[in-house]
Amino acid sequence: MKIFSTSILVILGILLFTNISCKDELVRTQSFTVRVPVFMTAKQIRSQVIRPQAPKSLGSAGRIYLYKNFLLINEPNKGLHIVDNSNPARPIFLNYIQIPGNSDLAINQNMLYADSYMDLLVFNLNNPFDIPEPKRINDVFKSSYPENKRGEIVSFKDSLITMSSNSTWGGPRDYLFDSSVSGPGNSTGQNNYGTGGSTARFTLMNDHLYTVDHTSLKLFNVSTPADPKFENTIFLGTGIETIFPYDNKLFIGSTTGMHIYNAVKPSAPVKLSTYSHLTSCDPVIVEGNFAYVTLRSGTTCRLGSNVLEVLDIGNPTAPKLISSFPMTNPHGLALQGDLLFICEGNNGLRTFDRRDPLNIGSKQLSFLKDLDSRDVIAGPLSVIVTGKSGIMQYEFSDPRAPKLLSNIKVVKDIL
Amino acid sequence: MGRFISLLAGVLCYAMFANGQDLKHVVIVEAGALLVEEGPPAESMHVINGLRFKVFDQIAETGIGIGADLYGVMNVIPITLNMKWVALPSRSVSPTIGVGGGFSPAWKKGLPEFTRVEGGVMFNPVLGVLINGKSWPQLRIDVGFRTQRGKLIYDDSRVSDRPSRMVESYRFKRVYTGLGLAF
Repeated sequence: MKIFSTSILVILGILLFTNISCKDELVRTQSFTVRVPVFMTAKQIRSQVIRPQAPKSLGSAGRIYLYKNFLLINEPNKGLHIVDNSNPARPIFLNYIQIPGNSDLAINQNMLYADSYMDLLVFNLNNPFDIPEPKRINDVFKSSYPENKRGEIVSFKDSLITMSSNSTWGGPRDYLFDSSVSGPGNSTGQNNYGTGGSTARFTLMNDHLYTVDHTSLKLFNVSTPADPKFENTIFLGTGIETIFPYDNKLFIGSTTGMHIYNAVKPSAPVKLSTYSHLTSCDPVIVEGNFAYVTLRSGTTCRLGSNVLEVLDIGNPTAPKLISSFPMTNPHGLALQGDLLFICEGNNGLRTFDRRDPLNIGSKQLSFLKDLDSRDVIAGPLSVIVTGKSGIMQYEFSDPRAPKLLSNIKVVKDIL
Repeated sequence: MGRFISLLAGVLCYAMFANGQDLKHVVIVEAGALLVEEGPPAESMHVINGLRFKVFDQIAETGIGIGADLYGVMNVIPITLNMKWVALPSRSVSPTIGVGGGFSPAWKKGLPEFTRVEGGVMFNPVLGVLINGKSWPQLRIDVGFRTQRGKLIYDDSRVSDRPSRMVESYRFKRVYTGLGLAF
């Protein structure tokens, strides 16, 4: 028996160590999320029913718009989340509207204007839980889609991240968009508009909706909020990126400079001047006699530098550079009182004291480095920062020690 | 997990009822190195808690083990079912053959470029010798082959210029050499 078992032992041992290779094996697999063009006809796009849906988690953070105490978050090319932001520390998702091809939005007296590829949609938000089928204005953004000539739409589009801020709402807590409460608007102040961020392509001023695409400015008369009327297209040049309204003027950021248009006659803006710079990506915001422009380098802004420029626009026909400060990779920016917020992409968020426009660069108050920031809106309740990882809200009562109130994280899609 | 428990239950039943006589509780502490052709060896330490019993005129052991294997890119904690056969228990030196296998949870060793790590199955057949002293503890010398699976994973579904998901699937194939003491 012992001989038998020992023989088995030896045989098993030989079998065990036969063909053994003592090298660790490593198999590396990589997956890439890419943008695949999807071609659809206008008829296919318009046949999709657009209705509010149950709230869902944030799949990606695009443009944000703040209207009263509601925060609207765009998921690029997919739709909009409506969030009750009465308490910035506990934002509540109310519902989601699936809007194919959506990248921009603006709200005027409870009427939400949102693009859907080549069309403009008008939603009635009097009750965000019961949003009727939107009114559709066809073919107003056709030039944005190069395959339009074939009668098809390519489903990817500019997906720059944007945010907006809203106004305070002191009324009782229910979920109706109370039209009796007026928001501050972007800068015009006299209308019940929401607020868009510095990288917005839609803005409202003087009963008009202004939208920019890469080459042109489109005007809609929204004096009857539920029934926008397309009025005109104005060619601006190439590389148009952002639009910001202030004091009956439109400040339009492009990759080559900043255009100032006089919009005293809202339906016929007139160009006042252009401030030129090297090719850079550059949102702009304005307050008083100063315009703040961030220039950044990057994939589409190859020649650009990374700076904050302060322009004197006391004479809007001749804007003048008065100071320039080096930045890391600036994106969107916002103002709140004496504070200037600048998003530094994946490098964080800087806060400056802007009271001395000649020395802003040396008056940095704080630098939050542990967040990705693409645009910022200084709302009355919180400072809202949007980035690739989600939307964060901060309290800046002490600008040197901002306090994180909430963080809406992007929930990753499963490949 | 269900299979694992079923297998363990089966082994214990066999040990206790089929031919289980002179049951003896045994604790084995093993320490050794996991050698690879290219690269530094990994440290290994295991504790096996089991039963020793007679099978005909030979000795078998079965038990459950837990340990730590420290590979270069990840650490694993194998939780294993182990069996060993002592061919010549009456001799002062006896050859043995054994096998262990199970599942190993894992954790990262640095590597911030990866977001998480996953463990995997482990399998470890061994040959060895058992040196019987006049009293416990027994000294054991084992040489075997240990294979262990594990994954390092980077996950980011956002559109960017780097992969949205990267998985490094490892299959460690090492020669195990170790010393053990049975109490």
